Amino acid sequence: MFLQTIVNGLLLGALYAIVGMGLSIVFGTMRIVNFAHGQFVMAGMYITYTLFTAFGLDPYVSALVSFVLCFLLGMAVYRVAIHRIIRGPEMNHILLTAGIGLMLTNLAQMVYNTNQLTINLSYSHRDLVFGGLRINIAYLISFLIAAVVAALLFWFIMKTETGRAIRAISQNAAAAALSGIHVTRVTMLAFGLGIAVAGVAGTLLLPIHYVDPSVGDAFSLLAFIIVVLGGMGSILGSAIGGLLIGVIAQLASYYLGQSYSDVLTYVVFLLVLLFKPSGLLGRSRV
Amino acid sequence: MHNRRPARMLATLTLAGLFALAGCGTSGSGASGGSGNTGGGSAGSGDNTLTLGVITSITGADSEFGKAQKEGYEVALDEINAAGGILGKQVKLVYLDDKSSAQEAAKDVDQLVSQYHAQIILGPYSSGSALAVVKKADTYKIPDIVPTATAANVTQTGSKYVFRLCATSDDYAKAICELLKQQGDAKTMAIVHEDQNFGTSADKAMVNYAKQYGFEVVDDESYSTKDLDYKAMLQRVKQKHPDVIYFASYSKDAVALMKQAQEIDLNAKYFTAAGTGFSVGTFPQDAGPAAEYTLAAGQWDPSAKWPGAKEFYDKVHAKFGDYPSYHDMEAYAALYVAKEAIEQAGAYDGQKIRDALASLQMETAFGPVHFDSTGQNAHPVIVTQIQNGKFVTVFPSDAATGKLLPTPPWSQRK
Amino acid sequence: MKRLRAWILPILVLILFALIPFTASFYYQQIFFYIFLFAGVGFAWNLVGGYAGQLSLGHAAFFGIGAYAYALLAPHIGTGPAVLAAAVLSTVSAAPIGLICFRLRGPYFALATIAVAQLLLVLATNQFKGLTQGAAGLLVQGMVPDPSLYYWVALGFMVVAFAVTALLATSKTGYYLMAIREDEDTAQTVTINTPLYKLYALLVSALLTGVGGSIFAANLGTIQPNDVFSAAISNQVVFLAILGGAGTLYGPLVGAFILEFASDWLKNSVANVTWLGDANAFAFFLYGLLIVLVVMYMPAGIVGTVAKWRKGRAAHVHAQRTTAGV
Repeated sequence: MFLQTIVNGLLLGALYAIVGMGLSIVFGTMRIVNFAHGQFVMAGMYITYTLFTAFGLDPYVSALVSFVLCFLLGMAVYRVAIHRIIRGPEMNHILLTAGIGLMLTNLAQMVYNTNQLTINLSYSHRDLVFGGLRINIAYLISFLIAAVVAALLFWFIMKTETGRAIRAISQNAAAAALSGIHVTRVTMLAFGLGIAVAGVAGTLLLPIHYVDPSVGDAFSLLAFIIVVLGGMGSILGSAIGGLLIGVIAQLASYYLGQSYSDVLTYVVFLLVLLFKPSGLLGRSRV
Repeated sequence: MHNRRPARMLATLTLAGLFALAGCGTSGSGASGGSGNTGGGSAGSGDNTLTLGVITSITGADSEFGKAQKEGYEVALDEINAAGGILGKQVKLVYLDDKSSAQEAAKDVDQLVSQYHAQIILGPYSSGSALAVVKKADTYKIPDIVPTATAANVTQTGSKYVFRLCATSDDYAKAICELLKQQGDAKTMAIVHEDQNFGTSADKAMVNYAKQYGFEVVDDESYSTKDLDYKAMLQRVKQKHPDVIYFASYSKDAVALMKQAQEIDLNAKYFTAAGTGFSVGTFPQDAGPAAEYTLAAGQWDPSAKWPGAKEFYDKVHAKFGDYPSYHDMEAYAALYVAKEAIEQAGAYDGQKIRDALASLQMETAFGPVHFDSTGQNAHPVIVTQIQNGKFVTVFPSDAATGKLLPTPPWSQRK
Repeated sequence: MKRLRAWILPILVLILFALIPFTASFYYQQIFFYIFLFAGVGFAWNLVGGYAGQLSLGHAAFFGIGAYAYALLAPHIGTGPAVLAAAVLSTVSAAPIGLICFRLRGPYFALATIAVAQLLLVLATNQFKGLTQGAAGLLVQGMVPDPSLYYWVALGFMVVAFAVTALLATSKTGYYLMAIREDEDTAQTVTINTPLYKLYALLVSALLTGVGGSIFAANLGTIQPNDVFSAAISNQVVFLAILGGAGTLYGPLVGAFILEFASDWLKNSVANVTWLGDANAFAFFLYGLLIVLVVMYMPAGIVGTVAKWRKGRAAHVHAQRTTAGV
């Protein structure tokens, strides 16, 4: 049972990881304290839900649509609002994005009403059995997609020209501008990319969890915990942070009781902040 | 000295606010859309509408159930107005949103009294809000009809102005225990409940009744509806091998719990529940085969023997396209109870309406209504079982429309 | 003379507030109750979040501890001592919270405060159910014999909270706190004991917030963990302080005033517009938009922006006069 709990934790953790990875780019790298992250995850869930009910599109196909739509949404939000305050104090980032989150939540309620919506997939609650270990198919698919997204993001940030520009801005925006990088455009791109990944996370969550307008609230704090735990600015760190939180949550739920999964998550988070504030894989920070 | 300017601004703002207040104070209910500007305050004033105040959850966590309530009120409103209204006046309902929070619910009472001269309050939806509303209504000495809140403590504040239509979480637990006693083959029980007001009250009630009826509670688990996954918790339950599992769940968590119980092959002789998520009309479709054989204590079913039950179901379905459950029905009945009480009182007056409610005896599509000295209606609880995707009433025997079927293990279901 | 004149307007405002119960309906008295209560808590938050620049997003922790301390103790030790106990317990709890969170800066501090408040919410709901009754809720003993008196309780609380923050803010401590906000490292190098002053601000802030929580609980008559420990409480306090102007003396009151009336107006006017479909959601949508617009165009808050604007105009007029003189 211990092994099964670990496996379940890793599968759940992959979902957490992909929720965290989007924020890793936005907050970890670009230092935009985005409190609306969970609401963008919610947007991805609603997009997937709509495509599934209107066109019967399989959610794992609509991940691409979520990605594109959330990418555009993210860039628009950046251009219209966040761009204007990005040099201001972090307090204003938090307030502005919390306001945007409130707008998104209620926009969703105006369009979709307050009902908790789910989609029924034939494989949502099916398991594969490997020598006594049960692996849920929906979780397994999400795990694999999360792994692919993590790999692509890592490649994008480390190997491409834009990725290098993003890293340069995250280290020193002024110097990056001097060396000919179009800071606004690249930051907008990076923000859009982070939101796009949040949208994909929403898609992967929908076969497992319901969506309603307030579903995003829980994901924002979770995403911050994962990013800080994994280490600022490290995609790989966020992936590992997500897996770790997943395992901790499952172990706590199984051995202590469901409500202890939150208790332990917060306690671990506070301990990491105190004793290893740079996170598991992070660089040291100011 | 630099503080002076903000101070001046503050004074200006305050003045502006006071003007706004004066406006609100004199024009009565500015927000009610004109017709209710004296509210229902003076039933004999020649004004031809009677405005009644409803508090429910239009936004926030409970809004799904608030919507169900609103549908019930609307259907009752149409019927009552078509039949000539109350005391010869057409009725208008004002819905105030409690944003699923007790703080807002209490403020709503103030607003209904101040701006609409409310002499009776209908609502709210949840038990958490209901406590605050009951406390508040008591200070104004106006009655509050509580249609849906099941937590025991709603009628335990000592208020003489609370009248609860629905059965309580105690009644749910008792009905399930009675049914289990009748069956005779259950000894151990696990309780799995959501951690907000409804689930916590249901848990408390069942712990108490299980002891009375001699069932051993081998596991007591709480969870949050925001949790992504319940399999670890269900595994804990599985290890205790309970004969009975008693769930207190909202809608989508109920679906996930049963599907995941199937997934991890968690078997019990009886999957039972405190209504709510296991009773909503969409549960059999959403949970599919995993919903089969589950037993839910509930307040009402369209198959109920009381006249008007089936008609109500059809009307809500025709008007809103939803499958109404007892949440809709309780709101529907609450408005009829208010009508009866106001007409018996003969005037729109809080104290008289309260007295009328205290001695009320009436038949509704929800069943007979009579409030005891604590304001509790002795509403009979039924237990339904899902058989082939339909709710079948299996308990008590005089309300039953079918026989209870034994729950086969997951491996033996097709 | 100048000192005296500075007092005139606050006193006038206070007299106006004292007149409200005689003109306004009980509903508006309750609106003012919440304005005063949250303005008072906003003043308390302002010490930490405004003057010292430490963005606490977890003040619900102190609010909730105060509320539960009062609710649990009032039946046993009486109303007055229970308020005192609420004050003491919330202050005492602030010490470890401060020691943990103040090791962090910027968004990390903010996140840590959220985590602490959320942790307390989960614990009060589940692990400490024996004490708090969990979400089943506690009935709370009243603080005053007549519900209409809560207006005065909240007004008194706000005046005290204002006086305390005003005294602190204009004292040496206030300047130290502002020095910490502007540049903590520099403040430290000029031998300000920054951890000590930050903790001092938090303790005072927590004390006032805890008392605020106890008044909230008594007025409502019932509490459950979600009413007092939730992020909604923390956020409301932060929003109103920043809307009014963080780090300004009157900001929280102006912010509380506007938020409470905006929320009332949205609920009663906009929410009744039927063609909007779910108009309540639209009202909240506008609320979010308001926050966004304020941050974008008035980052210093209303009081801060107006002060800046007046200062700018005064300087401009002064410059014109000087030029004309030459």
